[in-house]
Amino acid sequence: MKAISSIKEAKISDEELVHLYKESQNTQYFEELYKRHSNKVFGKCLSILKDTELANDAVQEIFIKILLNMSKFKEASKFSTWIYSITYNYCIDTVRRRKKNTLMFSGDDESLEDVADEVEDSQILETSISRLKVILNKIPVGDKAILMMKYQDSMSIKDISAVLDKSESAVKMKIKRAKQKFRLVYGDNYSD
Amino acid sequence: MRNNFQELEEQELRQSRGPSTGAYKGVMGGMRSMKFVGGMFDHFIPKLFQFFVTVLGGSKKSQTTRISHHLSDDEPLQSLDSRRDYPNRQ
Repeated sequence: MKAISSIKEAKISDEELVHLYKESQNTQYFEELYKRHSNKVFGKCLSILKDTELANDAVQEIFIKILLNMSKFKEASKFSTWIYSITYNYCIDTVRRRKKNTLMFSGDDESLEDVADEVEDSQILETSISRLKVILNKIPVGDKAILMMKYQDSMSIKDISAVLDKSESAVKMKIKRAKQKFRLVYGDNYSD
Repeated sequence: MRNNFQELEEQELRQSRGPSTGAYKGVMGGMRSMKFVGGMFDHFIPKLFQFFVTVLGGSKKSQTTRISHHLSDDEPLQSLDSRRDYPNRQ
């Protein structure tokens, strides 16, 4: 077993830390995982929940969830992808519970007309950071989360479908609509 | 190379102070409690199980109850001598 003091120096991978934690139940391995990922998890929670206190509660509950489900992590995917899936799932559920009448995804209320032409990824990715920030705060929270999963965390359609508990074709449709909404809001805010 | 979404995340992370120490303490406290409860289960469940076994008529040592000393047809003859408690043994 690796000496606990050398975790940082040895740059042990997340997956290896999970393995060591499962084997020894030594809390220091989990503590290291918390230190590595809590900032990003907090950032995602804050970005979706838009409330510092809620984001702090979310971090706590998400890591307890990770701890309880550690045995289910099969090491088939990256550990970071797995915990971000749990994070998005938790945040979307929280928003759904707190704001029951909020529109989560574009198209859920049939208000968005299905436009035939596909919005290219490059159109989204070429948006400047300042504009991106504005637009992401104006589109429905589910659309924001799905675009973050796709472009920020490079999650596969399969991973996103597991988070949202939807079929892969339903996820593709949601991504398409989120991109359309993004373009619509962009057009409304920036005329160039 | 990072795309604009990832750059935005980096920017927000730099501006944020990260989760509070309360969140950290909550997680670590939760983990220790779980470990404690798990330890308790590991310690007491086998004893509790043993208690029920005893109450229901079992015992700690598993004993083989010999019902009879009849020879089984498929038991080899040479093994007769080795059976100390064979009833007709001289």
